[in-house]
Amino acid sequence: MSQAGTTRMVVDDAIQDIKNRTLAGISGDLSRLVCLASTRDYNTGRYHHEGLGSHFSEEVAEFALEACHREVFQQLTLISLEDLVGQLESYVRSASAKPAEVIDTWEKLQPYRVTVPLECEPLSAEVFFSNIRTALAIVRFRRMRDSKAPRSS
Amino acid sequence: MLLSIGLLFIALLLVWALRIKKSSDQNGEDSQGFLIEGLSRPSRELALRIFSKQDWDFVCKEAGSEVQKVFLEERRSVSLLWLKHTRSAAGRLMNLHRRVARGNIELKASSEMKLAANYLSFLSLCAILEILIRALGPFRAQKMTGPVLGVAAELWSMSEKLLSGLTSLGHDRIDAVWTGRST
Repeated sequence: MSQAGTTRMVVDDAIQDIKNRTLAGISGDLSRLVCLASTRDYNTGRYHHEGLGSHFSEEVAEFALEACHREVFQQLTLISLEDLVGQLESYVRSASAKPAEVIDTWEKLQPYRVTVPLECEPLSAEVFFSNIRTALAIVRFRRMRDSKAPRSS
Repeated sequence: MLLSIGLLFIALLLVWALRIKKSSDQNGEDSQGFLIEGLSRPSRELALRIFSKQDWDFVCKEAGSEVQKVFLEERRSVSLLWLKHTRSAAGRLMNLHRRVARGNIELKASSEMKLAANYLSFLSLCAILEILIRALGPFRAQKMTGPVLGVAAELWSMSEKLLSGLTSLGHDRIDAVWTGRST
């Protein structure tokens, strides 16, 4: 087998490793996207994962993380708005800060902008940003509506 | 009525001609990316998502009029952006075809005419879709995306077939055209 073929197989193994160990434990593609984007250096755009890097190699880990990042992002751009709102609500609930604070920060600082893969198409990125903005507005609306609704108990 | 249709076609032809001239005047700085992007087909899945009525129904059910208004505006601008990208990708594809095919003796006039007619109908459908998006909004214009994507798919298939048929040029020649090594 050629060297390129062997490298491809190793990268595939690393991708499976990320999916089975890291991503399987995270609920929802939005949370997975945030997790994968956090393994990327803001200055260089390169991915780092200590465990994966020592098990395979830094280069293989980088390729695998980048591939997973692209795949998760692509899935997120194609899901329905309803699913995205569900995932955003789940992400907001799981965050360590208060939900209202998380929504405020996401609207003002727009941290979701740094979660897109480096090589993604600008149009896909715009669709994603637009959907997140709408999802945030819906989550905020739902929270306000629920807080105004009389409690049944 | 006929006069307006005639004028619209003349305007489209003029825009096409000007675009071809403008892009041929560009130097080959970004030509490699140009080639790759120009040959990638517009994503049908992304288009279906952008114009999805399901998303609009969900927003109408789950949010107030203010959020609905914001969402409608978001989707309007995203759908127009999609249209711009699709048109621009087709323009690059035609430009690539024109530059690679120029001077090739294997060209068939009938195939080239068919391709040009297909591109013209693609541009016409895009123009109609744009009017519908601006006038009625992206969700009511949704039905028009099918014909646009259909003609675009045909355009890409025809162009790929014609380009792959130019065997004497090969990919090296195509690369050379875009990297400015040869004209």
